[in-house]
Amino acid sequence: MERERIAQVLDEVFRDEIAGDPEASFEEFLTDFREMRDPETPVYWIPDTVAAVVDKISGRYFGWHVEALRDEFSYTGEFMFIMVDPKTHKCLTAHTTAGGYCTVGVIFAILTVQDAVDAVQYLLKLANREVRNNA
Amino acid sequence: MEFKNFSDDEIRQALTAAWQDILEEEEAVSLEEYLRQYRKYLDDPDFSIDGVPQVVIRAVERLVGRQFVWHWEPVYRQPDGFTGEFSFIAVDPETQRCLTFKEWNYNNQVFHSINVSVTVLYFEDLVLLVRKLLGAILPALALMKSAGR
Repeated sequence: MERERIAQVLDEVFRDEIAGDPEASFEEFLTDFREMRDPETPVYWIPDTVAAVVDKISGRYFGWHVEALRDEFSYTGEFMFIMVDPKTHKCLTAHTTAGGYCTVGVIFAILTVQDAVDAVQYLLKLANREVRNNA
Repeated sequence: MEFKNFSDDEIRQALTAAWQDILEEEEAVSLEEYLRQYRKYLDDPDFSIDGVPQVVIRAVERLVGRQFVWHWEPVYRQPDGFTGEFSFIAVDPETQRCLTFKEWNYNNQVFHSINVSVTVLYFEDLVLLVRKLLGAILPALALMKSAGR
């Protein structure tokens, strides 16, 4: 799917399923988060939107765990995603790092819509690879 | 799909032994004393809460006799901050299968969760958390074994 279309779906899902507000905009939400870093911001709306878009585009409901990473003072804008195939229970985001360390999640910095599109594309690639492996 | 059902006493022993494993020599503090300090300084960023997940993971791996890949995190609830709740995800390193995956049906809708979470304040909460993790991990391992994976 083209990046432009993914950006559109991100906005639709954010508006209709996550914020539940017909006036809401994913881009504006990200801009506010990036510029204000207000601790009251429902920061989990960002990874929840990305995960819901992956489910919507792939037509499947994966098992998800998302974490908003924090430093000493506030959220950093980085999010960890752990994605599990409900059919095989395989953790699709598990991988071995360059240092040989085994980890179960992938981390994306998501501060713009384009960052979110990158995350969706990467997670869709993992989903499609699993479908091909099980075909 | 047989798997061992550990008693609370076995879990308590595993937790105590796991704590001995992770203790550094200069920290001659018992697990009970660590938990007293933990409750007192729960929301103090200078106090390390890592002892809880470390001892839980070590105890589970001792009882099962295998090592797993883990993700754990303290759960922060606004506006209360950290309340002692931890979330754990365990993955089998060979098959990458998520051992804490759970699926359930509610009102004809299927829901998934991939983590186990418990609020830990006292020793018996640790026992409950280990029991919940074993309750997820052991059946998943038995299923993998019976499926030849």
